[in-house]
Amino acid sequence: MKELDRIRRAFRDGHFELLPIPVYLIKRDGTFLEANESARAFFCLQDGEGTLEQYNIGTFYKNGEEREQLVRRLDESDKGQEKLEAQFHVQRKDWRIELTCRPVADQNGHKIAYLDCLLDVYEEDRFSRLFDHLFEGVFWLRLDGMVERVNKPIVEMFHCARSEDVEGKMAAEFFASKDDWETLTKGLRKRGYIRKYRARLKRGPHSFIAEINLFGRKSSTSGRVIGYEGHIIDVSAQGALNRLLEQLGLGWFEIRHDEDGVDRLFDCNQTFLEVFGYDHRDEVEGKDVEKVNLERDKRRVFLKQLDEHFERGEPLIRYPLTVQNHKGEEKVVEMNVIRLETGRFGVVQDITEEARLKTRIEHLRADVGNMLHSFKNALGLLGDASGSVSASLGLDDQTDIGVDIPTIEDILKTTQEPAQELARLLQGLVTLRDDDWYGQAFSNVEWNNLGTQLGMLRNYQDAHISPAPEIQLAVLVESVIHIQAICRQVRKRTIAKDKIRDIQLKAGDIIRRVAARQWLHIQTEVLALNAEVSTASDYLSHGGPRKVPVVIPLSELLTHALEYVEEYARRKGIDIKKSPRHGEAKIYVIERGMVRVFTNLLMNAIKYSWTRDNEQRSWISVNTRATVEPEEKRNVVVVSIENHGVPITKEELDQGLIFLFGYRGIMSGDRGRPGTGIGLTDARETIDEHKGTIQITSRSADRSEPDNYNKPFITTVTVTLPVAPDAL
Amino acid sequence: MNAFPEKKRVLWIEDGAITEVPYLAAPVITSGKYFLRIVNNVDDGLRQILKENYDVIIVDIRNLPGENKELQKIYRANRTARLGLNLLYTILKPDHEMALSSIPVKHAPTPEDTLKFGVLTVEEFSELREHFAELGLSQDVYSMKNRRLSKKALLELVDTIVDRQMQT
Repeated sequence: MKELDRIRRAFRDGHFELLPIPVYLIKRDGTFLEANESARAFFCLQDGEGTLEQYNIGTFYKNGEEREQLVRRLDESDKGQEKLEAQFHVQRKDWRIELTCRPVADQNGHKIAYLDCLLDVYEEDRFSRLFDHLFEGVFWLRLDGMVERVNKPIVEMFHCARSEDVEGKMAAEFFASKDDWETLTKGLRKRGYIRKYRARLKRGPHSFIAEINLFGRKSSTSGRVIGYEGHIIDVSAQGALNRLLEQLGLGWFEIRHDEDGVDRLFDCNQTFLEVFGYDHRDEVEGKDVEKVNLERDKRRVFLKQLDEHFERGEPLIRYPLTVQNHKGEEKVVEMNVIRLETGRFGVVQDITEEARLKTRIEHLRADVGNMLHSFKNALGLLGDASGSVSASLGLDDQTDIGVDIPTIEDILKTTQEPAQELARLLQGLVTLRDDDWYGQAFSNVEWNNLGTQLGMLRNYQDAHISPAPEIQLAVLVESVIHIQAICRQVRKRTIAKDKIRDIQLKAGDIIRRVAARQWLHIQTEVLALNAEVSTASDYLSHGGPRKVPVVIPLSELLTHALEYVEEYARRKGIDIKKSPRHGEAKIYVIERGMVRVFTNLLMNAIKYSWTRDNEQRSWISVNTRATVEPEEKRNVVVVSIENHGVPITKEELDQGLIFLFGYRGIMSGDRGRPGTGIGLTDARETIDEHKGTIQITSRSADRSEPDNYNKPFITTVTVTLPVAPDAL
Repeated sequence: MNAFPEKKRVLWIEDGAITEVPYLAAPVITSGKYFLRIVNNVDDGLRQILKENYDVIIVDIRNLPGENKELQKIYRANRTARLGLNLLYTILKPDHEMALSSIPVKHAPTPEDTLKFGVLTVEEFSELREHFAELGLSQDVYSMKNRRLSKKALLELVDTIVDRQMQT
């Protein structure tokens, strides 16, 4: 019993009270005999003479069998002391505990008690993970001021490579002034914590202002202060900027001229290092920048740009640069550089992925542009055929059909007389059916069909048979084609050739008149398609290599655009009303692009015009005026193009859908109008580039039915462009 | 006054969205076998069906509502609503949920009614299969509008429906 007594006496003498960890003595069956203050606090044991023996360690194990296993292990062990792990459930929490257990034997060597020390490892592990993943700099100090542990942001803050470069050193070494450290420690001793203490800390050969928060680090088991923990924030302007830029994913650098006039990288952040392929600041800091990043030629051009901007007192903004970084990766970066007294400061954005996507889109766009361009050949072939086809259809003399597209009603009128003549000729033929000889000219089915078609020729304009003019015309054509086909089947030597020939000639005349109309219609559609394809192709291929702005009177520009669309408008039967004050103001624009814009807008106005009144021709209006924009205080010209026709819905206008690339208006597809959905995208982009604006409104022509999209709408496109400065 | 009383009467309910309407209609008319009436929306189609006795009714599935408020409501909610199906259900299956409640169908549909109907539409047959089964329509009376649409497509569809009626 001597050993057991000796240990109990040590407890009673308070020797274990100094230890910051729970220590206790238990019998073999788990009954508590002694416990130090930490153990009593941890297990929540009532303090007092003889009260400890009412507690048993077994009740604190999460799993009762675990204690029995540990006791067996201790019995089998020859060691005087064993390190074990167990899971306790104390204070309503689970604790993974590491404990050391020393058996206490009697005089015969029987193990009668155990002296245990606990170390909480569960909380420790959780804290470590948190510690390492914090974005702020956190650290632990020992009571004597030695740095015990730091996380990664602290390592970076002090421009060190590893945590070992900081840990193990005395905290005082990092203070630029020893006074600061002494003030800090005095405060700690007095209050137990320090809040928002500002001090200058050393960073290599330089220093920075930091805000420090420190407080006592207590043992989770005993509650005693076993050191200090805290965090540091770099509160210098540069530190704040660094944090902001890091959060934005931007790199920054500072370059300074040294005494020999060499540009050296003075400082940079982690993102900068990553973009340029370096692992640590040491690899670049203080190095001649010529050896840090760029190829010589690119560097020369870049520096020239820098000098030019700096000489004008301007920063270099959004300068794109392709670099091969230190790890051999090709990066595209956007440089933003400003001059400093001592050198320059810059912000770098890695735009490699954006540049890759942009290049891909540019290639795709050019491919589509080229593809569209190839369509122009096919449209050109149609144009080449135009003369001969027109001549074959008798369109050259323009006597009976003219060059404007005749309406269906016009064609019905001009074919009425030939149709009646054909019916008369066919009637003459049909009467021959009952003749023994002539009746052999056709089969019964063919005679019947000729009879049916004769009925059609007489009644095709009867509303009971063909309700609409389009259908009447289609019935006439279909019937004539039937007659032609049957007449081709006539048996030889039955009916005089001239009878059949007269019918075929008359039938051919009717077909030619209708075909002429269709051909004019095709020509008009080809005109529209050609304009669509040309403007879309031009836009997609960026209007060719030359993009030099010129000063040009607005009137001249609009005249060019109107020349492109006048033929189309004439064929569609649409008048263009131009304002008498055709703007003489001059604008400073890329002529080709702006002509394309107005051609697109005018084509749209013509294409989407319609009227239900056949007696009245449709029209679009083009108005111009010069004014001063009150908000911008600048002289501008305003061009308004108005048409009467296909509506643009409120939703499409409100949501700006009509300006989306490839978008075609909900109502635009009716009547088979061709379109690419690119024109308005092009218009807005190009007008934006010229610092102008474009606005579109569309309202019902019938004010009593503002939302009836089956009725015509008045659509107005208003383009505003700045007047060219006098100096130009 | 019907100039050709002996002809079969054909109703085509087609919203006129396709430019080929005259060219599809002309062969039907010039065949001399049919009297063709074209209406441009479902409401007019329903009125015609309830008023006149048509031998053949060709329905476009994507169609316009016309003046009927119930159809207009459906169309406003969904511009691609298949209003032709509402018409078919209204006539052939008035108890179905897609049948229009605002249209008073006077008599219960007969098997002969089903034999009158055909569908000429942009929808693939697979999209309509279940409806055809529900309505008791056969695939023979379906024709698809596409770019290769023959000008005789409507005539052939009408002929098919008439042949089926003759066989029955």
